[in-house]
Amino acid sequence: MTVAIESAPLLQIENLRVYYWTQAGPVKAVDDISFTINPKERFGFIGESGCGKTTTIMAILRLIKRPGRIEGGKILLKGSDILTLSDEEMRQSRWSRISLIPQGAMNSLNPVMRVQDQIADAIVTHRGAVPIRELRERIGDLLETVQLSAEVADMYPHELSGGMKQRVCIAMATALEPELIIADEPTSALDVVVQKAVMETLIGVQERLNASMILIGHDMGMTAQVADRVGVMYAGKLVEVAGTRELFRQPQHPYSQALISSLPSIREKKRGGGIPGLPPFLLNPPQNCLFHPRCPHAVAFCQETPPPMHRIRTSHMAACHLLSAPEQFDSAGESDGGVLGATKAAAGAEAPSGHQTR
Amino acid sequence: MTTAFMPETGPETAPAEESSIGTRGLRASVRYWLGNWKLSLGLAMIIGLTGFSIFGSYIVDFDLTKVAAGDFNARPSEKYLLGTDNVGRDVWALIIHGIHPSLKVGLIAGVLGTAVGVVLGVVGGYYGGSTDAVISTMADIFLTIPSLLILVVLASYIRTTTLEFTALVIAIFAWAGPTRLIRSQTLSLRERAFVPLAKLSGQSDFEIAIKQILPNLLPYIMAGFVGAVSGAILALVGIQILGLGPLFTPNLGMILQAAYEGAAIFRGMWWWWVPPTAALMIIFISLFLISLALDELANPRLRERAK
Amino acid sequence: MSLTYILRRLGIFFLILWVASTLNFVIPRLAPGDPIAALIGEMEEQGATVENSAELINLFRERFGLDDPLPIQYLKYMAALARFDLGYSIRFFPATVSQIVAAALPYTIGLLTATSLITFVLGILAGALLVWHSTPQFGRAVITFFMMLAPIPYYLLAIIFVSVLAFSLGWFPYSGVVSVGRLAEEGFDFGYIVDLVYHSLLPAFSIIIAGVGGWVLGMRGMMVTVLGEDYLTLAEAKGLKDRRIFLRYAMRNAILPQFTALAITLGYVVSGATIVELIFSYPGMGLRLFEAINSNDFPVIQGITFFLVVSIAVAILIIDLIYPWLDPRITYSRK
Ligand SMILES: Nc1ncnc2c1ncn2[C@@H]1O[C@H](COP(=O)(O)OP(=O)(O)OP(=O)(O)O)[C@@H](O)[C@H]1O
Ligand code: SF4
Ligand SMILES: [Mg+2]
Repeated sequence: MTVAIESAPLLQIENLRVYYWTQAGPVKAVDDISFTINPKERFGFIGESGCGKTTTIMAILRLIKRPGRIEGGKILLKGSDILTLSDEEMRQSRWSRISLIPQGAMNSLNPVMRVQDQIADAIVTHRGAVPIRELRERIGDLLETVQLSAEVADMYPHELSGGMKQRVCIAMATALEPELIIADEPTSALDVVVQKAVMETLIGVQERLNASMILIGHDMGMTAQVADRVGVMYAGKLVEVAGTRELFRQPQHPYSQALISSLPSIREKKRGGGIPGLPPFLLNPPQNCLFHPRCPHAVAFCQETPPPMHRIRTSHMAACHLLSAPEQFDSAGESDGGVLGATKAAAGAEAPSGHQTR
Repeated sequence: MTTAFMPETGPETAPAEESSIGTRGLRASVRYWLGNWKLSLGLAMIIGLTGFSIFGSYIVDFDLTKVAAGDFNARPSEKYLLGTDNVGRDVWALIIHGIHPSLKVGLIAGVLGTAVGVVLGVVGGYYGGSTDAVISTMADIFLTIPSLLILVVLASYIRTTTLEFTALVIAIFAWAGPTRLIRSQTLSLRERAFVPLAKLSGQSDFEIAIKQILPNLLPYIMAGFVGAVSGAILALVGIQILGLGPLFTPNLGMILQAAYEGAAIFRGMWWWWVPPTAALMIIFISLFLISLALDELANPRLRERAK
Repeated sequence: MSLTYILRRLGIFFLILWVASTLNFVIPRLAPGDPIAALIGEMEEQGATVENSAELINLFRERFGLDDPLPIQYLKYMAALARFDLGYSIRFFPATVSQIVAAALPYTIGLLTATSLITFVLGILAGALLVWHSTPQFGRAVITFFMMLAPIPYYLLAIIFVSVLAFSLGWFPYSGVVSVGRLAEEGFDFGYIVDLVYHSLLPAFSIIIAGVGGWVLGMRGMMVTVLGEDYLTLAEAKGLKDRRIFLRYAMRNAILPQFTALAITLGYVVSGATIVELIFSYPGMGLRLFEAINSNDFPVIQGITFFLVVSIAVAILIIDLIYPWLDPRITYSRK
């Protein structure tokens, strides 16, 4: 199911590149990625650890720290490039337009400030001074929307459980009713029961605000359930973007296929095997298709030419030569899909290989 | 049942592998050190100064450091490179013969203090509990008490002692700093994976302390040592300025004290007070640079960032 | 603030006093050749020059109870200390040690309180600014320079200041607390205070400059750690103003360990300041200590040491009691 596209996209990322300039050389953490997010849409990011998900969203907030630097590209929020804003303009649009539920929510609250003061900080900075009684009331309401009692406002972070802290972060992220909420693994540090409840709260708040949301999740099952569209990242590249159902049913990129087939199948109650091999070391990545050392379909051509983003349908794109240059694979025959085919079958995924879509 | 075979397989494999993390870290650090200007400069300064003093002592006649060895209050000249003081001692000779005794006091107190500090720190940090409570509280209290004043009380009862004795006395306070440092590091090392692993594999506490913890403490032990040496020299000179130091062997504190007593500053006799001040500055600054470098080694976030 | 916390801190307070005074008791008795007996002998010799010397010697005998067994001597000594009874000055008999200390203590406490506070605040601020992204390059250079002064001992800096600022340039008086001819008895009028401050400037300056580098270093280290914390990233994402992030999020957290360190360094500062006082002839405890050393006035030496330790212990107690107010995690932990 794809959300009906209302007029223009909210966020358009074009050819974004973010490098970390380490002593040993540049780490291309985000390398030439483009995608769009539509109003009210929930966009999920998946990919193995270290593939550049956090870097991407931090770039959207322009919070990349040294030695990292945004090397190029455009980040258009409602059509205007935030990379051209002055620092002060950028500061003003943070939180009021784009808010963040950070990856390390456990440690994201200032340990020496009361919850109330930390939420008030965001409100007062962007909306100007508010009478204290009104402020308290608003914070109480916010806490209520995330199922916390108003007393939490007077507590310090160390007095809260992990789930409570996470909810405080959600309340804080929605305080200014931003157009875009970015949630970086918002539930990863919580236990499973709490995870579900927190996620439901988050979705509820997002829907109420009619905000868009970028959701990074290590739990692909959860992402599959809540996201409208999903982007798959691999080694700093966006390798596939598609509507959630379509992606999970018919992943087109061999990496997506491997990732999705590694999911434990719900029907067969069986753990899928991981993807063979390791993600590349980004300091010295493989040439062209970065996935070729692990790809069961790889041919020499994959090492020689970078695979372009190939549009399969309006809302489904993937960057793999199997899709864009299928003629290169003719000689390789059908014997290549060994490993992948086996895991896929085991996981019961009905993912067609590139050949079949042809 | 598993424990029966654990000791056979365990000690060889798991801990060895784990502690290699330490070795690998160390190798990377060695590379880092070689390029660290603070460490090289600090070492160069202190080694240079020590060498200057030790070799100089063979060349410059010790008798020039004795009272009435030359003219009184002479300005620097060809005859007296750094002039003479108010009782006719040659300042150049005093400095050359005075640097290494001052360093020696620092070294003695530093070694003693660090040795005690390592033992107490490892014991406290490793065993925790009430042993640790006693050790760390005592260390804190000894750090809190103005050691110089207690030393003054002591020195005022025991006047005219030797440098070696003063060094021993200073060591009474020199252990607290290293103990505190080593304790907190041991505490955090204990929590890391390789210690429980080593324990599981049947190593005794003593073995763990020697084989697993001590090597990883090395940068901190060195930092503690440098701090103790510097603190000891600081205390020694402090006691001496108050007029309570050993008086017979030439040393930097003694020269400075004589200059102070002889109103060198107000008589414009810069050659008398500047050299000991400069030598002490070199000592303190070089030790400081070394400890900064050691800090960076232990805490990579402090390192200078790549452009 | 929990009661256990307060009790624990009080315990440490008394522990500091106990260790220091026990050292004070033990040390003279460790010295070879029974220095107290020697002292009394010396006093007998000097009898002619000291008024009421017989009385003094008797007081001493009684006080040290040299015929008592050691534990009794120790108990008597501790009991006397508890009453702040430190006996009589040898040199200024019949002045008591407490009287001599009382005359000098305000100068030292005043100087030390003022300089410690200034040093701490300056050092903390400079250390935090040193690693803050928007500090101008020039500011960083200045702070780094002061950081590099950290290893230079108080007394060396004092000597250099006396020589350059007071002697060569003549900008400051180099000794005493007020201009000659002005006496405290004239009353603490405005002029006196100005004079006092003027005379205290150079010693204060030495103490501040010598101490500030250490705080810069400590704060820099802690700031670097805090700047890497998640709550700082979130504060930035919240679009807070730079200054607010700096003060309320970064500095506010990085200060906490420095505050603990403040207690630990006090002893060191007091030691250093003692010598600075001497170099500037500032009429505080340091100068009195020096005079007492030169005249073998043991009770005064011990008394000054004891009172300085008491002052430090009090300061630490105050710091400890303020700390939970700064760090909410302490306040509520009732272990
Ligand atoms: N400060 C840095 N210096 C150097 N490299 C960095 C830095 N921060 C991130 N990287 C590198 O950038 C790459 C992307 O990191 P990022 O945090 O964006 O990954 P991620 O997809 O969010 O991973 P995770 O799922 O573990 O959160 C990683 O390979 C990482 O090594
Ligand atoms: S381009 Fe080649 S190597 Fe890369 S994913 Fe497609 S088939 Fe595999
Ligand atoms: Mg991440």
